[in-house]
Amino acid sequence: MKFLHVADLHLDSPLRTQAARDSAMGEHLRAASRQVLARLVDVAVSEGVDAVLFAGDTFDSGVADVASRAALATELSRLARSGIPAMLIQGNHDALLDLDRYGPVSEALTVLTPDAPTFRIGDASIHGMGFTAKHMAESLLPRYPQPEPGRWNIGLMHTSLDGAAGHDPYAPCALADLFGHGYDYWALGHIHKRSVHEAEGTLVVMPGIPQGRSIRETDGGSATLLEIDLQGVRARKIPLELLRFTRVLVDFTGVADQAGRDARLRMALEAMTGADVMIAARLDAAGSHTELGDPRMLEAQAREAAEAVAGVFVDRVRPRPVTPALDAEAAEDLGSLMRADAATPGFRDEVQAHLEELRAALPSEIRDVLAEDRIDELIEVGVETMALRLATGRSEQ
Amino acid sequence: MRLRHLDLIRYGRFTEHRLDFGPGGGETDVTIVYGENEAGKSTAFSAWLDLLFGLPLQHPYDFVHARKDLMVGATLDTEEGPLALRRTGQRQGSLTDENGRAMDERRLSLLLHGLDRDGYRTRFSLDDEVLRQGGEEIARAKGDLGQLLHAGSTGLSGFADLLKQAEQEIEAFHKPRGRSTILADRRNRLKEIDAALAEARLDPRRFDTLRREVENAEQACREATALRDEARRQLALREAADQRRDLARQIDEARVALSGSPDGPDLPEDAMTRVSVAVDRIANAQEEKAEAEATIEKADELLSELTPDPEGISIGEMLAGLEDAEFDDGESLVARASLADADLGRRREERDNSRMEARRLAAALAGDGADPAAIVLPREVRTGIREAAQDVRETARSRDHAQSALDDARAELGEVEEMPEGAEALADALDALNALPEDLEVLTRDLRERETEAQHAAAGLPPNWRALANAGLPTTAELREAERALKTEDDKVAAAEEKLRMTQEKLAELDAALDGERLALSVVSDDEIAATRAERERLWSAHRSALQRDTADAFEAAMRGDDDARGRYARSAEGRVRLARMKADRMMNAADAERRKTDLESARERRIAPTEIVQRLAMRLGLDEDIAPSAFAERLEAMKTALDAALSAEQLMGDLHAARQARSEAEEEVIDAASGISGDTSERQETVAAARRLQKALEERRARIASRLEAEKLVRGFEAQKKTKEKAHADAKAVYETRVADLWCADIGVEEVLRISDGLAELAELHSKARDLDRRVGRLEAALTAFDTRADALRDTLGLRTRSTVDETLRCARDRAGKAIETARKIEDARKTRNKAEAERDRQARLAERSAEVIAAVFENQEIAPGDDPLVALRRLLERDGLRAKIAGLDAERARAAEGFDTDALSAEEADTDPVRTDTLREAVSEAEATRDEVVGRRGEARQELNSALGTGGGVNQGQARAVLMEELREAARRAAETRIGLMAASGALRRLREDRRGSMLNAAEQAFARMTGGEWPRLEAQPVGSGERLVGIRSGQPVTADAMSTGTRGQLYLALRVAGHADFVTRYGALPFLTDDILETFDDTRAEAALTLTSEMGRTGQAIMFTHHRHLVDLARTVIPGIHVVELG
Repeated sequence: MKFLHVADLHLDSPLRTQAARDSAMGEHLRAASRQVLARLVDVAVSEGVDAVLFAGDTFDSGVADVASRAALATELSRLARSGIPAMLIQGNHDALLDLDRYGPVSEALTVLTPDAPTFRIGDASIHGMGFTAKHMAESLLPRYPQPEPGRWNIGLMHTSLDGAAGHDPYAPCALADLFGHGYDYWALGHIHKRSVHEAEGTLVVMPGIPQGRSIRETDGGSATLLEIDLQGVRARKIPLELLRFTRVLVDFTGVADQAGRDARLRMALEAMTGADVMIAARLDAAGSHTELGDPRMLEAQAREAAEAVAGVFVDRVRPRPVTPALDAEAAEDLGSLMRADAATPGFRDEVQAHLEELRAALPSEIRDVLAEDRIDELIEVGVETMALRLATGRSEQ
Repeated sequence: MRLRHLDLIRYGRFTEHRLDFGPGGGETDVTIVYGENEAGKSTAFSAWLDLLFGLPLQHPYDFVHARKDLMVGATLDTEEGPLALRRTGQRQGSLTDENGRAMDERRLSLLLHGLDRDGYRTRFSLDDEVLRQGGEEIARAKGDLGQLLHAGSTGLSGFADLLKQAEQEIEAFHKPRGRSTILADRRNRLKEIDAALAEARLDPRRFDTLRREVENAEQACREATALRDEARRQLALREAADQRRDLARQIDEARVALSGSPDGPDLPEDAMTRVSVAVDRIANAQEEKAEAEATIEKADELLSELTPDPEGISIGEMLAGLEDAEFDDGESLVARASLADADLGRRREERDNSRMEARRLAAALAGDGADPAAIVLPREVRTGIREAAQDVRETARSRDHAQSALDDARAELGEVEEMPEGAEALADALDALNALPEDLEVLTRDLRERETEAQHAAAGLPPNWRALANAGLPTTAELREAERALKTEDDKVAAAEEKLRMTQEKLAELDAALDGERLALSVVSDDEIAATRAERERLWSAHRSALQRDTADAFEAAMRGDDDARGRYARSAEGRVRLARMKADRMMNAADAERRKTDLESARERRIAPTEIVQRLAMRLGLDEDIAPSAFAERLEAMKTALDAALSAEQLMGDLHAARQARSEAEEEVIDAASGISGDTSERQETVAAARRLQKALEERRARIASRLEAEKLVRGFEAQKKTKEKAHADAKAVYETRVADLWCADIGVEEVLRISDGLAELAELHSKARDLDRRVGRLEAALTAFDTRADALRDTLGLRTRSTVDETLRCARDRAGKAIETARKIEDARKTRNKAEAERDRQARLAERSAEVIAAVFENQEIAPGDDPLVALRRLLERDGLRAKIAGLDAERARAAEGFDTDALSAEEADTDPVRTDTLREAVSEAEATRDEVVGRRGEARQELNSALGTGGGVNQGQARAVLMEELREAARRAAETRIGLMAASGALRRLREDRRGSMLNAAEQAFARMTGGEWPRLEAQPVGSGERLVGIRSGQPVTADAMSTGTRGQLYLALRVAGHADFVTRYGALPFLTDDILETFDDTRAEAALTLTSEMGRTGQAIMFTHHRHLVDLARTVIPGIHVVELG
């Protein structure tokens, strides 16, 4: 049997990248999550799967726009016309969503709940239950039905597993417990980075978010095609993303002029191109101040170079000047003096005072960019960037 | 580290070229590299940087040697000894020793104190452009001390602009209460997007409302449609009833009209057409028949008038035969004969005249009775003879001319002459005499002036000044160095004295404070406590022994005293500590004071040596020992000037003596040479003037001799020419004789032949013309004869004379024949016309009969009155048939109007004759339609609203735009924060630099600046401005900010800062070669000299290398910098 497993669709959640202001890109990525959903259904139909499994956070919030519902309903109706059912559980984001407000979303859709946790199709039993509140502090595993003998048992669960780094615990559940429950396959959701775990004849897959939304979500971009037969359980990654976020280090060692920088940038950007997927790149530029040149010029060059490479867009360029190790005898430069001044406590306090004023002026949603726990990073980057500008300002004239 | 050799092994246009910068080690290490433009100075500088830091991938100097083959070598003098290095074009391991072994780059990095290429280039090189930009930087920085010191240290500029730009970027993003900032704009934009998002979002409740509205509108639409349809049905019934009523009335009217029509069946469908056509045909036939009979009558009349001419026809045939005949050349006989008739007489006359003329001319050329045919010569023969005769004539003339020229040349040769012996010697002696300066008086006058100058220059100098100068004057550099050294030591002594004074003052303060403390605090020391305690014990012991009142009182007093002391001791603990600290401070200061004294003594001792040097210099300059060194330069200058003037006068004196001597000797030579030529001592030329006259005469003779030689050459040339001309003439004669051999004109001579050549040509022409005319006359006569033969019969028939002309004969024949043919044609035409008209008349009669039959067939069985016009009868019958058809149609229409309606209802409506009922029903329909249209519109609006709401995609696009905006804002905020932090760090760094370097760099810059400006700007100060300081210069006691100085002065200030920065670096880290590239180009000599002096000072602490393409700067540098090393680039 074949199943297509997807999670964390976050339908209609926007892409958070500056690259989307490019009109060509913006047009291509219009309603990106809906396009990915359509691709998912295309794959389900072309692979002839037996069912599609939605493992939570299909919507981005508990109050979904009617148009978002309509988008899901439209795609589910395509599945229905192809005779493919879909099973869905709700995650922490869409826990409170009233899916049935306008009647059944689709005749093909079954929502698994604690009251009706199992759906049987062919020789497979799909067990699942979703979040009933935004935060579920305890594991849902104990309430999952026991595996049905003689059938393929697939579990659908939205969970933070063992509490992955950077995530608050949401219905936490130990991997070992999942392995020990006796199912053949666990179709998980919640963590946006893809992972695959196998032990004791059980495969546990976190498919990852099918379309990353920012540079912090670089490890998803796919759904998982599950094949179960007498030879066992196999999972294969199916790429779905329209846009991939990528972080790349561009080394400018040995570059002597703008032409050299341009060549390195083009080489790095051209190496990123992928078939059928656009790239939003964040470039880390490494080199000495002479090699990097003025940081604003470098960013402008990177954007211009990207225009010549189809499908690649620059989200941001961050210079990372390599300061040569100075020994005690080395002649100090303004950069050294700046670093020394920035290392004093008084400097930090003064920075804090300035940032407080600026932070208060920003919209609340983005004040975290100047949060107190980021001050050290801001100081380091601010000092190095200004040192780079001052060092290159003369030599560029 | 210094550069001893730079080897351009393969670099730019150089191959195996070494630049040697000398061993160094002198007072000052300065090298000046002189080369014309494009000599390779920039190449050398680039090679030095490449050696230190590696060859860039794209190399500007690989135009002779490929980049991979480039190689630069150098020998560096380091603390550890000489270091030979090479830099190659390899990508890896490009630094090697001279044997090609790879070397660690860190060796160089250590020597360079960690500087990279840009860092070294900006700190340790200077060119005119940098100097200019440095001056501008001072203006832009508005004299900010930190920025200027930094610029001086590193050579970097552009700070002020960059800092200002960063500030502007920050404020552009956000400033408190700013309304046009990026942040404010984005916040406004965010509000707009949020509003659009709220509008676009399709909230479930809103969706329900819209859907409900659409449903309600559809229900209303259905109801309105039903009402409209009912009203229409009512109206349709009424209209049908009205229509049937009207039709019934029309049927009745038609029946009444039918009752008066004729009987008979309906006419066939085409009856109208058939009858009309038949009537028309009958009328046409009658007209045509009448016309044909008229034509027949006319033709008969014409035939009776015409008479045929058969003879004329026959003449025509004969004429045709004659016209078709051809002459023997294929042309028409008639044409030939006609032409011959006209031309024959004239041609005969022409022929006779030509013959006569030719005979006359032959007689003129060759004598009476000469036959032209025998005289005439072909053209080519005539031409050949004429050309040969002309050649003979021309060559004879040339030969005669050559002979004449030869005779003239011989006549002009003149007499033979020779130059006497000794003439050359006389000429040389006079040349030597003339080369001497003419006027000794000028020299004498100059000498007097110089002597006067020397005396003036020496005024004010001591009497022994000359001896002092001869013993050797010190150099300006020596004086400066001595002054500087003494001042340095004086400053150090003053500083040491000041420090000692301050320390002593501090010590006195501390003593006073200590005393004060002691007095004020009544500090009880440990010793005192011990003493009071001991006293108490002693008195207790005494009392125990004595047990007396007085001993008890004494013990009590001691006990109280001890208690009091202890109490005070306890209270004064802090004071003791303070006192102890003060004592410790005092001890430290006392130690400091001792150290300062020692330092002062050392400083004074160190000052002795420079003082003695200064005193010695004073002596050498003839000054008192106690004169200040600042006066030395002036004395030195005066002595130099006086010495120059004296030496100059002495030189001039020597020149004058030499000149006089030389003149005397030269004159003697001249006189001897002149005497030798005359050969007789009694005629010895006693004066130079006589010798000159002799020389002149000799020169004239020389000219004549030269002239004769030229004339002889000319004669030889003419002789050769004459021979050539004679040969040419003989050749021409031979050719001529060959051409005239065997001709009648062989013996008449060349000139005669030339004379008659035109006549011969004319004769040939006449002869030819006569022959031609003969032939033509023959042809004309033949044509006439042929014509006569053929035309005889024709002439007879026409009755013409035998000798009528060709044209006459033809004209008569043509007239007769033409008329006969015309008559025959007319008769034939008339007969044809008559026959044709008869046939037409018969045909038209048959047509009329057939048309009458058609009319009869149409009217069969119809009620028609006899004699009726067929068309009138036809019309009456057609009207009858029309009425019948109309009645049938109306019946059918009435039946159709009832279809689809209830019979009873229809009948009821037909019976209802209310005139307004129909209009009433129409109004009802209009109202129902209008109501329905309104309801349909409302339904459309409701649907449109719902579709729009669904079609926006539910705000997903607005959501995306919002996310992009927030991301942009996040990035911009981060960048603004980082820029603010960077700006703060840069300001802090400049402040540190200012605090750290201001002392040493400011002093050094002040001194350099004073020297650069020749003392015009003796001081530099730092004035506080806000939280910083700015640099000002003091001129004539007035402060002037750095940015208010002139461009040139700012350039000098920048140079002074750079010199100070260089000195600061050398002090901190060590020396590196400093390179300048024509920085003195815009400086006048005085400033250039000052700058060279500064360079010399830089050369004392490290190597200085100057590049220039101005020769005068090399000369100036040699003067200003002792021991300067000069390298010339070839």
